[in-house]
Amino acid sequence: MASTAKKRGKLEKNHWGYIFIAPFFLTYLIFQVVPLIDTFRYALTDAKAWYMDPEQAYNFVGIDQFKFVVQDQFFKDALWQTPLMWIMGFIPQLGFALLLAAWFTNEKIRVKGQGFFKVVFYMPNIMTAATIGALFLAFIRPNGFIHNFCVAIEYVKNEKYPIISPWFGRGIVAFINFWMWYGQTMIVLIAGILGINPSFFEAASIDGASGFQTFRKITLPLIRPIMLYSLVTSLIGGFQMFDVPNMFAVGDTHAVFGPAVSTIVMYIKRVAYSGTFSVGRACAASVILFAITAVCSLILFWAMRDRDAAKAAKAAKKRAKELAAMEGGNI
Amino acid sequence: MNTLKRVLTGTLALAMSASMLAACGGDDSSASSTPGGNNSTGTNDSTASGDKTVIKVYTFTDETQGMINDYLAANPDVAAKYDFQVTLEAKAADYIQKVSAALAGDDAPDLFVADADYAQLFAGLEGTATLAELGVDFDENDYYAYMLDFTTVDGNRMAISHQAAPGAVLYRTDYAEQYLGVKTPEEMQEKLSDWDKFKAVADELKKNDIAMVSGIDELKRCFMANRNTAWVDADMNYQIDEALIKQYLEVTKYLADNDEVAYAQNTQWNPEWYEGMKEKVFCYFGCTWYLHYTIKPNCVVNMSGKDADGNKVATDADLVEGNGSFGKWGMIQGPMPYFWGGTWWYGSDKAAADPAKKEAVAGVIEYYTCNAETMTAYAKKSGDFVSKKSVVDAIKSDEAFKNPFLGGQNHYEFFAQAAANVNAKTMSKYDDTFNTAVNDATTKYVLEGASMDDAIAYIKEYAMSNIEGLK
Amino acid sequence: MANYSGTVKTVKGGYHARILLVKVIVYIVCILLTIMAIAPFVIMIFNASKSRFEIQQGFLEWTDKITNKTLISLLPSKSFIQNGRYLLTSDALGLPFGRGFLNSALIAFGATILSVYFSALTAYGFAVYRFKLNKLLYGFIMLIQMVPTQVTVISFVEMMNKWGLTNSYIPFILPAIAAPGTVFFLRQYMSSALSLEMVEAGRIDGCSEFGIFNRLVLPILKPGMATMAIFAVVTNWNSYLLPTLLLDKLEMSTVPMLVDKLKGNKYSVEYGAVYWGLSLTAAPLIVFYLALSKYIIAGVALGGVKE
Repeated sequence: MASTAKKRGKLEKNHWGYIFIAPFFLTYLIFQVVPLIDTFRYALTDAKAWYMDPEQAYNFVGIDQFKFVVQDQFFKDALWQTPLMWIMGFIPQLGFALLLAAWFTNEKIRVKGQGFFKVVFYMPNIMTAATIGALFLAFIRPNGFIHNFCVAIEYVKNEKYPIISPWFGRGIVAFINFWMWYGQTMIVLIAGILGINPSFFEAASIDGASGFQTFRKITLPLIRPIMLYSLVTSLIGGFQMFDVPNMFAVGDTHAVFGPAVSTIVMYIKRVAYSGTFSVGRACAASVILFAITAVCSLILFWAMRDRDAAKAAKAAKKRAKELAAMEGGNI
Repeated sequence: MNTLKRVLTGTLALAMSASMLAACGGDDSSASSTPGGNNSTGTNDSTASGDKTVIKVYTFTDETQGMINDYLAANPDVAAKYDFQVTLEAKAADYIQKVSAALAGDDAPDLFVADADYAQLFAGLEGTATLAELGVDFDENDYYAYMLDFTTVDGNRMAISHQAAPGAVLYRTDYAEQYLGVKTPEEMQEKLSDWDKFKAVADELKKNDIAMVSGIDELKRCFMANRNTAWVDADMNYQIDEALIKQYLEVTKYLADNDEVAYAQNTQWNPEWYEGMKEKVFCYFGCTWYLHYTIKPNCVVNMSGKDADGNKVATDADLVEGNGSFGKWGMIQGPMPYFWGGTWWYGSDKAAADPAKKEAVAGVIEYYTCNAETMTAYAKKSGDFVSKKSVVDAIKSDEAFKNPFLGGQNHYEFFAQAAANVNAKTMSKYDDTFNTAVNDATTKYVLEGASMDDAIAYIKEYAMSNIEGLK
Repeated sequence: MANYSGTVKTVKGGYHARILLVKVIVYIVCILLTIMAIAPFVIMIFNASKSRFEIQQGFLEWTDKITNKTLISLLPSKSFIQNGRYLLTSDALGLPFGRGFLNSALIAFGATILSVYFSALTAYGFAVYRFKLNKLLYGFIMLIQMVPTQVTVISFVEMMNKWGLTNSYIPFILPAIAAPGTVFFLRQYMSSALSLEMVEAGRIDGCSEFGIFNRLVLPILKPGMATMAIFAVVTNWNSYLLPTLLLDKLEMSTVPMLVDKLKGNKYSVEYGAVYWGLSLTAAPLIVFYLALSKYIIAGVALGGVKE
C-alpha cells in the first residue's frame, strides 16, 4: 500500500518534467517550427515579401519555384561555390589542427607556452565575422597592403587595377575560414586526444613505438569520431556561409569579386529582398539548403552511432596490441 | 537505429501538430502581438518630442535634413507644432527594403523621398498616398513632364520631384587648356561630341598621366538614359537595346585597357571616386544635384593645420579658388544628353489620414515643389535646378547663377537647355536590378575578359534571377 | 616505419638531435602561426593611427624596391587620436558607435540570460523527471541541434514583419529561450555534477519543484552555465544576417551592422577612420576574450561549441 502511494507520488512529480521543458518547446515551436513550415509552404507559392503584398494575395504554383531555382545559373554557382570555399578552408584547417594537436600532446616534445599558443590561435574565432571580412576587404582594396603586395609582384597590372580574380576571392574567403577555425578544431582534437585512455600510449611507449607511429596507429583511429564530428558540423556551418563573403560581394557598386564568392544564403537574401522580393523563390532555395543540411546531419548521425565509435575503439585497441606484439620482439 | 527511428517519428509527429497549430494560430497571434511591437518601437521614437506632433521622414540623402531645417527656420509656427524626425539610409537596396517594410507596418514614415532608380517602385506601394489625398496642389503643365509621368499610377500622381536632373559632363578647364589647347566650353563640346572623339581625347590625356574618368562605371548613367527601350515592358518581357549596351561596354573597355581610368573598377560613391575630384581625373558625368552636393564639396583638398572635423567636410569658407580643383571646372552636354535622378517626395496613407500630419507633410512638399517664391529662394541658396518651369525661366539668367565653381559659367541656363532634351520613357521600376546587372557585366567584360556575348547574356540571366515573372 | 624506430633506439645521440630538430620546427611553426593570428589586428590598429595620407604614401617600413610602394608600415603616428575623435564625435561617418555598443550589449546579454536560464531549466526537466516522452523529446533536441537558423530566416523575417516586430529587439532575445545546443551541453553537465539525492533531500525539506531548481540546483550548475553564457554572448554579439533584415533604424543598429556601413561609406575615404572603426568594434571582444580565455578554451575543449 505504502509503496503504491510512494510510486504515485513520484509519478505526479514526474509530470513536473513537462512544465520544466515547456518554455523550450513552446518557444521552439513558435520561432523555429512555424517558420520552418512556412518556408515549405511559401516554397510552393509565388509569395512576395509581406510588405510588398500585405494582403497575401499569392498563388499556389506547385514546384515551379524549385524548377526555376535549380535551373538558375546563380543558384547553381552558389551551390558549388559554397562547399568549394568551405573545403578549400577546411583542408588546411584540419591539417594544421591535427599537426598542432599531435605536437601539443606529444610527451617527448613537451611544447612550452602551449596555453599561450592556444589562446592566440583561437582568438580570430571569437571576432565578429563581419569585422574580419571588412578588415580583409580593406587589405585588398587599392592602398591595402595585400593589394600593394600584388602590385609589387605584378599579380595585378598596376595599382589602378583591383584584384578581381574569382579564385583570389574564393581563396581569401577560404583563408579567412581557415584562419578563424583551425584553432577551434585544434582545441577540440587536443581534448579528444587527452581523453584517450593513457594505457594505450603507455603500451606503445613501452614497446618503443615512435611518436609518429603512435599517432598514426593509436591516436588517429581513436579520435576519428571527433574528427568526423568536426567535419560534419563544419560542413553544415560551411553551407550556411554568409557573413564573410557578403563583405566581399554585395550586390552594389562596391562589389569586389562580384558573384564569384556568392553563397547559397547570399542568394536567398538577394532573391527575397531585392528585385521582385520573391519570398517564394527564396524559400524554395531555403528548402534545398534544408535538405542538404538534413543529409549532412543524417550522415553525422549514422557515423556517430555508438556502435561505430565502439568499433573504432576496439579496432584501435587491437591495433595497439598488434603494435605491441610486433615491437615486442625488439626488447 | 531504433532510437533514430523513434526520434524521426517523434519529430514528424511534432512537426505535424505544429503545422496544425500554425495553420489556425497564425492570424490570431498577428493581431495580438502587434501592440507589443508598437510598445518597443514607440518608446524609441516619441519620447523626446514632448507635446509636438512627430513627423517621421525617411530619406536616402543627407540633403533632406538640411532642407527640412531650412523649411522649419522659415516657418517658426510649423517648428513650434511639429517635430520632424529624419532617418537616413544611404544604401539603395537597404533603403528600398526599409521604406517598403515600414510603409506596410504601423511604423510607417509620414514623408519620404525616392531616387529615380526606385521612384516608380515607391509610387506603386500600398501605403503611398496620392498627392491629391495629401492636398498638394500644383499646375501639371508647369513641370517637366517626365518627372510627373514617371510616378503616375492608374492616373494618380503619387509623387513630385523638387528638382529636374538633366545631366552634364563636368570637365577640368585647366587640363583642357594645358593638354588639349581648349579654351571654351563650346570647343570642348566639339571635342567630346561623340564617343570616338571622347576616346581620342582620353588617349591625348593619357600621355600626360591624366585619367579621362574615375572608374569603369562612370559612363553608365549616360548610356542607360539613352536606351531606346525600357528593360521590362508592360507584359514583363525582357528587352535590351543591345547596340547601345555593346557600345557602352566597348568604350569602357577601351578606356580601361589603355589605363585611361583612374581605377579599373567601379568607383561611383566609393572613396576612390571622391579622390579624383581633387586631381588627376579629367571629367565626371554629373547632373544638377551632383554639381552642388557631390562634386563641389568634394573637390577641395584637405588643408593641413586645421582640426580633424574642419578638414573632412568642406565649409563655405573652403569653397574658394585655389583649394583643390575649385573653380577649374567647366560644364558641357557631352556625347549624349541624359538625366540622372531627381528627388521625389511622397506622403504616406498614414499621414493623409491624420489632418495634423497631412498639413505638415503637404507643407514641406509644397514649399519645395509648388511655391514659386520659396522655390526661387531655395534655388538661389543651393544652386539646385528646380522642377518648376516658370521658376526656371524667371531666374535662369540671374547673375547669382554665374557659378564660381565653374569659373563663372551659368549652370542654370545650361540646365534649362539640357532639360528640354530629357526623356524618361525608358525607365521601369526594376532599374535598380538592372544597374547591378550592368555593373557586374561590365566587370566581367572589361576586367575578367569575358566575351561580349557572355556579358550581354549575363544581364538577362541576372535579371531573370532577380525579377520573378520576367520573360 | 619499424626500421625507423629501431634506429631511434640504437643511436641515442641521433634521437636527441632529432627531438631537438622537431622542437625547433614546432616552435618556428607556432611562432609563424602566432604572427598570422595577430598580424591583421596589429596592422588594423597601426593603420588606425595614421592619417589617410600616411596610409596611402606610407613612410618606409617595408617598401618594395621596384615600385617604391610601402607594403606594411608599422610606425604609429599622431593621427590616432585625431582619427578616433573624427569617428566618435562628428557626424562625418554618420555612424552612432556608442549606441551600437549599447544595442549589441542589450541583445547579447538579454539573449544570453534567457538562453542559459531556460536551457538549464529544460535540461533539469530531462535529467530529473522520468516522464513518458522524456527520451523521445530529448532525442528531438539532439536532432534539431543541427537545423541552422539560416534555413528559416526568410519566413522568420516575414513572420516578424506581420507581427509588427521589426525595429524591436524581441526577435533577437525571446527565441533564445530555445537553445538546443545549450540544453544538450547542460544535460551532459548535470549527469556528472548533479545528484538526485540532493533533489530528494530538497523535497523532504518541503521545497517546491521550482524552489529546488532555483535555490539548490542553479548554484551547482554555475560553472557549466558560465561556459555556455560566454559563448552565447559572443554568438549574439556577432549576429549579423538577422539584424540587417529586421532593424532599419540607424540608432537601433548593432555593431556588425555598423561595420557593414563603415565599409561602403562615402567618407570611408578616411582610411584611417575605417581602421579605427574596425578596431573599435574588435576591442571589446579582444578584452572580453583575454579576460576569459581560460574558460573559453576549456569550454571549446568540452565540446560546448560547435559549427
